[in-house]
Formats: sequence, structure tokens, C-alpha cells
Amino acid sequence: MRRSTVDGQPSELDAAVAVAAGLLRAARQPLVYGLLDSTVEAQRAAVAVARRLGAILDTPASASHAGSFRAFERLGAALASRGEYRHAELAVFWACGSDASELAPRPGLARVSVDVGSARGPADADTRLALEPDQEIPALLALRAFARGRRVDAAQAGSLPVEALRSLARRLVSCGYGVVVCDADPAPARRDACRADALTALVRECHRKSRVRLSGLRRGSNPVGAENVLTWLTGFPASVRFGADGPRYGPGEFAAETLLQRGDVDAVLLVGVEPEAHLSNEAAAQLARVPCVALGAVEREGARVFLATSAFGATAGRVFRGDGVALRHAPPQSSDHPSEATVLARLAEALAS
Amino acid sequence: MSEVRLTLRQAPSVALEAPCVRPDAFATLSEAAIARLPVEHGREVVALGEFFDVRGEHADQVRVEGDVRRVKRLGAGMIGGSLIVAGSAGRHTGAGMSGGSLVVEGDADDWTGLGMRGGRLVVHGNAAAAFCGAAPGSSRGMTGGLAFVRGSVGVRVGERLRRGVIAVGGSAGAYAGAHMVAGTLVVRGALGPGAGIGLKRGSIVAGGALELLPTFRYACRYRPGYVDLLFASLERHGFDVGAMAAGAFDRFGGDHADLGRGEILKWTAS
Amino acid sequence: MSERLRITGGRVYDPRHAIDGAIRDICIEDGRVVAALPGDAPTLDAAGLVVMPGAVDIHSHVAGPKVNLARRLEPERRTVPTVPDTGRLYTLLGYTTVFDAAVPLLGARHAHLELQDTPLVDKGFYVLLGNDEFVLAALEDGSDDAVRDVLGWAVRASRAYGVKVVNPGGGAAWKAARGTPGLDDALPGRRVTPRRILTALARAADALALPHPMHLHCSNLGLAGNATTTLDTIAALEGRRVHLAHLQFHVYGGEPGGRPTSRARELSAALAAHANVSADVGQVMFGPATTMTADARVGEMLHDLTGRKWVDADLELEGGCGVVPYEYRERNVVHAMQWAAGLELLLLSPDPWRLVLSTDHPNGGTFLSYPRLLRLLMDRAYRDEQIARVHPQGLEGTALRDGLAREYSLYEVAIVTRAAPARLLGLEHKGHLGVGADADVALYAPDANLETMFTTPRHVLKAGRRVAEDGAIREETWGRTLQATPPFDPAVERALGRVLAEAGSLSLEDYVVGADEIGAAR
Repeated sequence: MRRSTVDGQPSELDAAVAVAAGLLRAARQPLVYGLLDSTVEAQRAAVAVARRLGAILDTPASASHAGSFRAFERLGAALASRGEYRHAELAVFWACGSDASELAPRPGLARVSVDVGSARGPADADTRLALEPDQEIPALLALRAFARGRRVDAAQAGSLPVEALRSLARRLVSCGYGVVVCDADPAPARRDACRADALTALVRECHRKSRVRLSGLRRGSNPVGAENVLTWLTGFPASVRFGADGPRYGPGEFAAETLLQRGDVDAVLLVGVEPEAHLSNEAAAQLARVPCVALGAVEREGARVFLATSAFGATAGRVFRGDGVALRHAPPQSSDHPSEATVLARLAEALAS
Repeated sequence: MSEVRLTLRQAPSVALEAPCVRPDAFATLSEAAIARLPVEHGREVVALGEFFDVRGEHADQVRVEGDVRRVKRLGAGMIGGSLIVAGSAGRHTGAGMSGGSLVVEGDADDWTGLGMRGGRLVVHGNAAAAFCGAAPGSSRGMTGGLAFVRGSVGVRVGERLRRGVIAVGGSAGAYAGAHMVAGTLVVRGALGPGAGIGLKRGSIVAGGALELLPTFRYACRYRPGYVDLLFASLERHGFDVGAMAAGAFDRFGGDHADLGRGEILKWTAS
Repeated sequence: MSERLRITGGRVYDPRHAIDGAIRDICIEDGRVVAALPGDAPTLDAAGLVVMPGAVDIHSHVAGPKVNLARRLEPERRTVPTVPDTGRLYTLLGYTTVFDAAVPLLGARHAHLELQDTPLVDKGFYVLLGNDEFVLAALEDGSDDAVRDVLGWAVRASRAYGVKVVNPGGGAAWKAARGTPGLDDALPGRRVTPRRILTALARAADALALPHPMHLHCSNLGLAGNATTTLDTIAALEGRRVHLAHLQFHVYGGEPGGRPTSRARELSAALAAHANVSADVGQVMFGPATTMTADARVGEMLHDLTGRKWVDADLELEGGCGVVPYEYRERNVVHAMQWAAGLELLLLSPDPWRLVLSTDHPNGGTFLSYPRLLRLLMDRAYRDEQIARVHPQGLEGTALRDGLAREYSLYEVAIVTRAAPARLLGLEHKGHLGVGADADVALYAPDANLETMFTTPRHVLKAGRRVAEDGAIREETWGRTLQATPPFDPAVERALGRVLAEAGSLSLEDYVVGADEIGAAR
């Protein structure tokens, strides 16, 4: 069985937890980061630790989902649980696939793939529309203008496939039920501050005349759990600082990426995340220089303290499906290791003592 | 004494939250009381005097010296008086300010002037992202006042601008004036992609290169009278409008993906 | 060792036992009220204080998917408190039991997760039925027994305390085709009418002897002329027990599509004439609010009205929800009428045991405005000042124009905030201070300003523990989750399974909340 370690040396869990608590307490501005591959139980335990520490609490969504958070906060959303998609007559895959069997090919469902650069939708779509990356936002705006019954001047449209967009807009406003599927955790090169806003606004506009919903694909085991748990416990979905006057929200400001780049944190607690997969090289390099406590099923190189836990897949608990439905996660095999939630609870106790 | 001078004595090792640095608040405080004001250094609440030498009292003229790029929220919420940051300032400087004068003699960081309600904000260098932008979830960004940047600004300058004037001497990053509700944004240099996205009402005056979104429509070429009034007022505040003092403007109405009652005035020499 | 406390010398208001301000000691042992304690038991001096049972909120929105969407929607305003703050802020007002009024079956697990993290108060929710495929399919098959078993299963599976019906059938019709069926209109593509749904579920709740009757949000909320719908609904129930949620939003006259007026007088008379009907008022309070409802039509209406941001969500096999930030303004004629209509209902109320307090938090205003509402009811001079501030046209035709003189007494306040909601909920141990009652107690220092008095209780006890004092939490305890446990015929699971197999994305087991999924998280 894998052991917890302190400075690379095997350690009993309690001793390692005590060292971790001391390390985090000594920091001026600790960061608790991750919660992506964690159960709800571990996520709420991580919030308790962050609150007790006066830490900044963040998840990878602060980078990958930033545009979606902004769109939600400005406009709201038009959502449906995935079982609703069986009503769909039209599915528009906006530079992505789908995680819902309800949107697989079937009679009565027209499937359109909008491909942006190398980000392509399902290969078996009925219709395709190809856009260059710099045409993406203009295309979304043109669609929305068409959905509002406005025209678009050819002079301004440039190389946009105006007729194809006009036709797609017509289909969206006249279908009985449409679903627009998008990538809600795009890779760094595909991130854009206004795409999610433009998609949300488009869907809202179409919904005035038909019934259209937006489905955002998420990555990771439980990103929707993280934003839900953080919201009901702190009021905010990510990037929360527990300051003197309670939790404060700072999208961008309290995001791990910039905090690390600026050297504004001096200790890190990693929970349910492989940080290098979500941080820039600069931020990851800075992370390597900061004292680190890591929970996980795989030992983390260079962590001052490693606390061995069960893997997400072997941990019983609750998780949120991508569409926001909370489910019970019952692992096929159990683990000999304590869960993240258990270890975090011990850490919280150690911090209190 | 007519001025309070704060000189950074000890560099913070992580960000220092210092919204207590407000000229209107200093006007009624003694030197000792100013030095006792709380700031947050990471998770510790410490006295302002731990980091700054405080000289002067009972004055609403404040000067901050030293490398305060890690000091956040200087002048946030100020309602009057004068604050001068002698170098570059940290994030959220002047956020929510509703009156008085704030000058950053170096560069300004992200969210400077966020949700500004009034007063005058001047940045001699460059300003980073979301200059005079909107707080998360808020339907309005800046709602009043004047903001000038001599250098360039980052992405999303003037987002959801509701009222007031923002003038930029250099260029602007992507999505300048996004979702503006009203008000005026002037950029002498080039504008990044997506300028005016979601524009409901209001004016963006663009002196340099600009790739228009397809949902703006050309109306005419002219020189609107109000532009000269606006420029005269900007010049009075020391903002140089450069070549835009002459020439004409192409007017594009939009954003027709949204309400579409705004305009982009694109400068042309002829 | 047992925990004891004697609250001495307070003026006790315990309407269930007809105690109206008598000086009494309240003896507490191990979280319950007892007849007597040994002389050396610790005491809490309540001389000069008003002693009431802890208050009970029969209709609020505090946990679950739509509440959390609302929190995320408004980082700039924060009208909807976090879960820890919800428990604390309710407690600081002297409220010790709170029910969320609308949780869908598929949101039950999420709601319980939030309730697990809600400190201090006892809590529970009503599970939504009446626009779902399970009930509609059972009704199509024509069997009321089947509906009863669906209800029994739903309450058990979701670990709910009661059943909530929102715009019966109308939610399903709206989702299918933006339909707004009348009581006797068949739903799109079905043989089922709203009347059938209503009566079947009311009967089922009675047959299962649920502690709280069907909790009903009538059709046409917020629309001019909906008083007729409400009166027809009462008639349709033919004497069966029902609790009408946020009645104020359902008492409007006026032409359909036009400006609503108040017909609160008629509804008051109907309440007087129908002893089977109870209601909470759903008072509108001026200031910020967040509308959140399983009535998705209302969400769309408010979005169109305000142009504000809007979350609109559909739930498979069930209805959906809408969330729209809102603001009630004194100078808005409709808001003034809504405010007035709620006060009319309360001031004309024929029976305080059947019309109880709520703002439908946060729809009509947040629960933090309860003290102000109590002052409006108890202090006519204050009320008249406020009446003078609002849009005069909004008051036209309302009883407020007649100069209603009624002022609620402390005894009546204890009824509408404690004794009555507890009785309507069938909570034997709540809402009173008799022997055996839960030792949930609020002690107030009398103040000429009744808003001040009710904003900050001197002491709050929860299950005998002194949890709050003078506006600060003293000890953070964890309350219980209250559930009903009706029987059902397990054979119903086969039918439910068929519905899911045909049109769901989950299995029946996924809907079942485990015994280990409730109770304090820590």
C-alpha cells in the first residue's frame, strides 16, 4: 500500500497531516487548488480547510470555464437536463462533440456541425459549416442578428459564409426543440472571453421564437460539483478568497494561474487535480518553487507533504453530472486508502488544534 | 501639512489589500490613525504603518511612493480628494471611485477604475485588462466620471460602460467597449478584435486600425459636431486627440446582434 | 448528564395552549420542554422578555438546484444567502424550522446536500409533482390508487416532508408548447386536465395521511384575473385539505393581459368559507428580490418584463424552473398593488390559524424582511406612513383605502409565525412550548419599534441549546432533516421504471436518496 510521505520519506498519515498543517499555517497566503476529480464530500471538506486557513480557493474552471462563468453572470442560461434532448429536432455541435446519447444520430434529429479551425464536431453530422478561428465570434453575432430578423451588410461580412449562417439561424428559430452543444472547458488556445456570452445570447434569442437550449461539455470528473459546492458554501463558483470580511469573489484575480505567475501565494494544497494539465508552463514552474501539500492516489514529485488517498474512481460519494444532476458514485472496487474527504477532515482538525 | 505621503518601506511578500488608502478618509485622520488602518497581507490583518512610512495628516491630498505594484485597491471607493501613485499601481486601483482625482504616474494593473462612478482617473503609462470595466454579474460597468490613459489599455476596456468618458492615447486590446449601454470610449490607436461587441447604445471613437464586426452597418462619412465638443473637453483635461483633431469619421451603427443603437466612429484623414 | 435550563419570569406567548402573555417559567431538559426541573437547574432570566416558540417558515426557497443557480447568477447583489448564512440568519431572527417549498425529484439529492450543510435550523422540503411523467402516466391509466403510490414513492425516494404542486399540468403544457391550459383543458397530447391532477394529488396526500396537505401553487401566478382561477381551484377541491402557497400572487382582478388589481377581499371571504383551505401570504416587500419558481412561464414573463438576466432550465420527465432577479418599488403601481394585496389578506384574515406569514423568500423579498412585515401588521401608525409612500393607484379598490384599523397582537403574531405553520405542517413538537415540545425558543426584548424587536431576539434556543444572543451566533448546532414516511405499493416501481426506460437518462435507483445522504455533513 502506498504511503504518505514527508520530504519524500514514508510517513504515517497522522504525522504527515501534522506537518502539512504546520506548513500551511506558516504561509501568508495559502492556495487550495483543484477539486476537479473529487467527490462532493471532498469538495466541501476542502472548502472547510480553505475557510479555516484564510486561503484562496480555486479550481481549474477559473481558467477553462471563465468565459462561461462570465456569460452566466451577465445573461443567465437556457439549460436542460440531458434526458430532455430526446425532444430535440435540431442539434448544433459548435466545434465539439456531445456526451449525450440523446443527440446521437436518430430519425427526426438533424445534426449540424460547425467546425472552427481544427476543432471539429461529429464526423457523422448531416450538415457541416467550416469557419476560420477568427470568424467564430463574427459568425455567432451574425447568427444572432439573423435570429433577430436583422440583416448583415455584405461589406462588413467579409469572407463569412453569410448564406449558410442565415440558413442555420432560420433553422434555429423555427425548430420545435434545438440544442446547441459547445465546449465549456476549452483548451487554452481555444479560450475566448466572449464566446460563451455570444452562444448564450444566441440561444436566448432563438428561444424567443422556438425552444433552444445550450449544453456545455465539461472536462474532469466533477467540475459541476465543485462549482455547486463552492457556490452554496461561499456564494461563488471558483476563485474565492477567505478574507477578513468573509468570502470574496475574484474571477481572474484569485485564479491559480495569475496568483502563481505573480508570486502571490506561498503555499499550495492540491486536492483532486493534476495541476500541470491546467496551468501554463510559467505558473507550473512557480508552483514547483512553492511549498506544496498534495493529496492523491499518485505521489507527487517535489511535494513537501504527500497524503495518500483513494483514487476518485475508487471513492464512494456524490458527484454532479455535467448537466447539474447530483448522482451517487458507487465505485466497483473500494480502496484501502482513506478518501480525500477523510484526510481533509483530519487536516481541518489539525489546523484547529 | 497639506499632503499625506505614504512611502513603501517594506515590500509585501504577497498581495497587499489596501482599500483603506483613500484621500477622503485621510482628511479626518491623524498620522498615527492613518498608520493604524488595517490592510490585509495575505491572510494576516496588519497596520498600514507596517508597510508604509506615513508622513502628514488631516489632508485629502495623498501621494504614494515606492513599488506598489503588489498593493491592491488603492483609492478604491474614494469619493473625493486627490491620490497620486508616483509609480505603477496594483490591481483594482480606484475601483468604484465616485469622486476626486486619482493619478497613476506609471502603469495601472487589471481592473483599474472597475465600476467607476465619478471623479477623474488618469494613467500616464499603460493600463492592463478591464480598465474601467464591470464587476462580475453587474449589468453596468463605469457609470460616470472621466478616465484617461496616455498609453495603451488591455482587453475589455470600458465593458458595459453606462455613462462617462474613457479616452485612450494608445491602442486597446480585444473587445473594447463590449456590451456598452451608453457613454463614450475614445481610442486614438488601433482596436483589437471584437470592438463594440454587444453594443446597445453609446459611442466608440476609433482613431486607428479596426476590424469591424459584421453586425455593424455603415451609415455615412461626416464629422459630428459633438466630437469637436468632446475633443475640446478632452484637450482641456490634457488629453491629446492627435490627428483626430482634423479629418472625418465613418459612422457604423450596431451591434445589430443586440439592441444596435450604438455607433463606432472610425476616423479617416480625408 | 442531562442538559437543563429554566427560562424564568418571561411573558409567554403559546397560542396552542392559549397562553397570552402570562408570566411562566419554561423548563427544558435534553432538548425538550418538561413540566418541572430540580431547583438547582441553571436558569436564564427572562424577566421583561417576550417568550415565544421558535418560528416556523412554511414556504421558503433555501436549498436545491434553482436556489444555487440563483446564488451563482448574482455575485454582484447576493440576495440569496449561502447555505451556512441561511441557517444563521434564520436563527438570528428566531426562526428554528424552515421548509423549502419546491424541490424536483431529480434535484432531491442536491437539495439534501445543501440541507446537510445548513446549520442550526430543522429543515425539510416538499417534492414537486403534477407536471411530471410519473403522475401524468398514472393518471392516463386512470387509477387514483396509482397516483397515491407514485406520491408515496416520490416522498420516500426523495426523503421529502410533503408534496408541492406548481401550476398543475400547466408546467408540462408550457414546456411542450407554451400552453396555458384552463382547469378543464386537456394537456397537449393527453387526456389529463389540471382539475384531474389537482384532485388526484389532493386525495392522494390525504389517503397517505401526509402530515401536511397538498401544498399548491395555483395556475396563472401573477396574471390579471387569476383570482377567478384561484376561486375555481378551491371549488374544484370540494372540501379536501389544501395549502395555497403565496396566496397574494393569486388574488388579482383585471382583464387578462391588462394591469392586475386586487381581489384580496373575495379571497379572504373564500378562505373564511372553506375551513379545508389554508395559505401563506407571499407578501411582497419593497427592495431587492430574486424570483425563482418551478413555474417556468413566470420566469419568462418576468424576463420579458425586466430585460434582466434569466436562468431558464428544463428537467427531464419533470417541469423546469426560472430564476430572474427582481426589485419591488414603492412607486411602481403593480408592486404597490401586490404589497397592498398581501396586507389586505393578512389584515382581513378570518382565521390566523389558516393564513400564515411568508414572503415566499426570496420571491417577494427575503426572509430578512419578516420583522418589517410584522411591524406593518402590528403598528397602524407605521403602516399608514408606508401606505402614504406607495403609488396611490396601486391602492385603488383595496381595503387599505378603507383605513383598516386592525393591529396584530403578539398573540396573533405567535400564531401566524409559529403555532399555525407548525399545526398546518403537522409538526406535533413545534410551534408551542407545552410539555414534550422541542425546546426551540425565541426571547425578545419589547421595543416600541416592533421591527427592532423582531430583528434581534435577545436569545434563541434550538433544541435547548443557547445558539444565538443579541444578534450573534453563540454556538453552531445542527438541526434535523424532517421527512414524511408514507407507505406505497412497491409494484409502482415497475411502472415508474417503464417511464424512465422509455424517456429518462437515469435509472429508478438514481432517484432514491439514501438514509446516509441526510443529516449533518460534519
